[in-house]
Amino acid sequence: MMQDAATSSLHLWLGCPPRPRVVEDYVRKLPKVLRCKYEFASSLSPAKTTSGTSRHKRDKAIQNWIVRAQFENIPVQQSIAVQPRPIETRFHELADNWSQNTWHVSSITDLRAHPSYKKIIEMGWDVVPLLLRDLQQTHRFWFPALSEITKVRPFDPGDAGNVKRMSDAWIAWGKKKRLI
Amino acid sequence: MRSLLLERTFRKLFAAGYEITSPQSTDYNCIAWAAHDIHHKWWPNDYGYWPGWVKREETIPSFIRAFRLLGYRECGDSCRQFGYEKVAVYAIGKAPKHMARQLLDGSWTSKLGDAEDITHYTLDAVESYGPAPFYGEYGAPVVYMRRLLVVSWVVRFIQFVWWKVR
Repeated sequence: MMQDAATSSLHLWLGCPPRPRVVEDYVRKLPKVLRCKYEFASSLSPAKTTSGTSRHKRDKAIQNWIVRAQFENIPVQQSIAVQPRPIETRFHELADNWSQNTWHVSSITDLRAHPSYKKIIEMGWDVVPLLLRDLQQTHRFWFPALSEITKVRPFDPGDAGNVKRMSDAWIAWGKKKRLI
Repeated sequence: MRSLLLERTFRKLFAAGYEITSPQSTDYNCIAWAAHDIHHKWWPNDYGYWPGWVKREETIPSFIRAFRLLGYRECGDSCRQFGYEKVAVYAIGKAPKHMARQLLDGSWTSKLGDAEDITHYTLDAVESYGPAPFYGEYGAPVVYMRRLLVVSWVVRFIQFVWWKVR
């Protein structure tokens, strides 16, 4: 501490900045061959590559790197992006979570405000056929989600609150649009 | 019949005593059940049924206005009174969450979301508080309303005819 203070004051007196200290990184590095190939592959980013040949080169390099890493049993999951789950699985997870947490809720506002319900709405048009199929089978309260995604309200305003009539109207709409 | 799920959700239910009186149904909710309606989900927004001439807003006055149309008037307590039928509005802050209806023997009946109807012997049996943002919590009874049993029979007959016509 004392030494640091002394050095800094000396540097101030001399008028030149202190030398940056080199910090050792203790991260285990990949073997040289793999690292080089990976660096080569990552340097050819999609933004830089315009021609078909260089894109092909990049893809091939990534593929080689993955094959080699798998062959040498290196954990590649850390560096490769995780594949997105199919939308159907994700929808069923969220829908089940929502049902488990709101089975005793009467307030429609509270049903809509649940985070899983909001996430289902954020999934957009892809989830509409799944919502309609679920509505057909389980009569769960998907009407606000369907209306918010599609910006449509196919049932008569006088039928609001009548679950059977609202379901029928939505299913008829889905069949007309060939979504189910 | 007991339900562990119900008892786990409503901590006072087992101690207060309760009975399950119907199968699960998604056709109606607690507000509809308090209004003797098993064909609609009542809620003052675009997706629920609400009496046409009452403004759709999620406030206690809006609930009071809707039930005044059914012949109810506000009263001071939840005690059983001969010749009257009572309802209680549960709320957290200013937001209504649940309703229960008094039966002739003085016990209360509630529909729990998409689950069963239950008869509970005290009003605080389904009282619940929890951490924000209060998902599914019913709060506590804040408003009591009553109507004469004769009025109740007349109104229920009119409701029955109205729904048959529709």
